[in-house]
Amino acid sequence: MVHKALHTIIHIFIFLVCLLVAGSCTVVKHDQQSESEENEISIYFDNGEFDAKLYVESVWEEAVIPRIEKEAVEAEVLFNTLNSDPSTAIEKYGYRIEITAPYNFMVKGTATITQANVKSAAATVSIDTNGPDGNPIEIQIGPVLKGTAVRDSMDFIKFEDFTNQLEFANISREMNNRIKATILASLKRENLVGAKIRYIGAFQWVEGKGVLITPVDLVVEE
Amino acid sequence: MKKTLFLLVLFSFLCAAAGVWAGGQQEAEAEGEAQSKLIYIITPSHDNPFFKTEAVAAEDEAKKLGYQTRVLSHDDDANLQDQQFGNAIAAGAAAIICDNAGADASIGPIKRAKEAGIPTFLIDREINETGIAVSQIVSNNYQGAVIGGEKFVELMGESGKYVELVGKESDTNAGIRSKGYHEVLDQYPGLTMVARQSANWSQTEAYEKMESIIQANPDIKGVICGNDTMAMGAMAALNTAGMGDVIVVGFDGSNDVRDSILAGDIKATVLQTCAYNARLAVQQADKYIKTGSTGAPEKQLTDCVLIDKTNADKLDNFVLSE
Repeated sequence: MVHKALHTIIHIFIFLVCLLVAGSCTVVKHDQQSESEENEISIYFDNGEFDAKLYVESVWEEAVIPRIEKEAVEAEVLFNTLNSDPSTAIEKYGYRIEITAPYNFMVKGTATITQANVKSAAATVSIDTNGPDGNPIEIQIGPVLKGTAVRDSMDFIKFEDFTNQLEFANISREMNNRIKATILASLKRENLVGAKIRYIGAFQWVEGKGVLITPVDLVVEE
Repeated sequence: MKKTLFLLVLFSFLCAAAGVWAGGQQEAEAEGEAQSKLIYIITPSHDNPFFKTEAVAAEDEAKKLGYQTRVLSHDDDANLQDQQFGNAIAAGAAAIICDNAGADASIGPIKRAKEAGIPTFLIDREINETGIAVSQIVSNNYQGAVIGGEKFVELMGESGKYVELVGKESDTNAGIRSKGYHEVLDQYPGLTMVARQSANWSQTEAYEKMESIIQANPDIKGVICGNDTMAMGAMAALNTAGMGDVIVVGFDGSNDVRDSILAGDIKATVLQTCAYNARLAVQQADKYIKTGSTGAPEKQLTDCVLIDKTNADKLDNFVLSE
C-alpha cells in the first residue's frame, strides 16, 4: 500500500517535472535539405529565389560597361606603373572587395596576338605586351572563362547585399556567360596569331603571377 | 520490467535536465562578477583539426585581449547549439564566437542572444539572415572549390574518368564545394564522372567507399574530395590497390594532406584561413564590446588559397607563412 502510494507520488512528481522541462525547452529543427534528383547536390540555401541572370542583365549595360569604360587604364600606363611601382598602381588604379582579396584592375589597349593557346577549353591569346612577371599578358577567349575579375571590379556589387556566397558566385558565372554569348561566341578562332586586336576588360592581380584578362569587349581589327 | 525501464529512462532524463539547470546556475553565479569579460566559443567537433584550430585560435586571441573563455562543441547538432546559446545567455557572456550548426537552424538562438544583449560573431559558415549577427566572417568555399577544381582539371589534362567524394550532405559547405567543383568540371566535355558518393567527411568511410569504387572502375584517373580527411582515406585505398598515381585533390589544408603532398601522394588541397578568420572575429568582438561597432560590414568574405607542391612546405596548422 505504502509502496503503491509512493509510486503514485513519484509518477505525479515526474509528470510535473516533465511538464516543466518540456515547457522550458525549445525544439530546434535541423536545416532541411531540399528534394533533389539522383546525383543532384542538395544545397538548402540555394533555393533559386535569386535570379543572377536577370540581375546581370539589369546592370550590364547600365552600370558594368560604363564603369569599365570610365575606369579602364591604358595598358601601357597601367603595366609600366605596376612594373615600377606596384603600390602606386594599386593606390591609383586598383580595386578590391575585401581586405583579404587580391586587387583588380580594369584595362584597355591595342595589341598584336603572338600566340593562340586554344588546346585547352580555357583558351587564351597571348599578346605583345608583358605583365609585371615578365611573361606575355593573356586574354581569355573561352569557352571556359576563369575567375571573377569583372564582378570583383564593380564597386556597386557587394557581398553583404546578397543572401549568401552562392548568389554572389552566380553573379560572376552569369557575367562570364554573358561575355561568352555576346563577345566570344562570334570571335573567329582561325589565324589569330598576328592579328591586331582592341580589348577592354579586367584582371585580378597577384604579385608574381601572370596577368589573365577577362575581356568585356574584344575586337579583331582588319 | 517495462515500467522500471521507463522510470529509469525518465530518471536519467531528469538528472540530465537538473544537471544542465544547475550547471547554468553555477556558471551564471561564477561569471556574475566578470560578466563582460566572458567569451563563448562554439564550433563543430574538435575531432576535425580544422575546427580545433579555429577554436584554439579564437581562445588564444580572446585571452590575449584579456577575456575569459568557454569553449564548446555543438557537434553539428542544432539542439545542442541551442542549449549552448542558452547557457551563454544565462552566463551573461560578453560575446559569442560561433561556427554554426545550420544556416537556418542557427537564426533562432542568435536572435535570442541578440535580444539578451549578447552579440554573436560568426566564422566559417554563414547564415541565411543578416542583421542579427554582428559579423559573419565567411570562408569563401565556393571560390576555394573553383580554384581546387581548376587545379584538378589541369592535373587531369582536361580529360579522363574521375570520382567525386562528397561531404556530409546536411552540411552547407559540402554542397557549396561540390557545386563549385562542378561549376568548373562540367565545362570540360573530356571529363567523365563515374562515381559520386558521400563519405560523410570521414577518412575510414572514404577508404571503404573508394575500395569498392576501384573494383568497378579500375581505370579512374582522378578523385576530387570535399575535404582533406576523405582525401586521406581515398589516397590510402588507392595506394593499397597499387593505384598511387591517381590524382587526388582535397579541401581544407590540413597538416596530414600537406605531408602527403610533400611525399608526392595527394596532389593539391585548398586552404581556408580558419585561424586568421577566428582571430579576426575575436578582434571585431573586442572592438564591438568597447566601441559599439566593428568598423567592418557584417558579411565579410575571405578567400581560400590553393596548396600544391610549390607551397605546401610553408603550411602549418592552417596558416601559410609568407
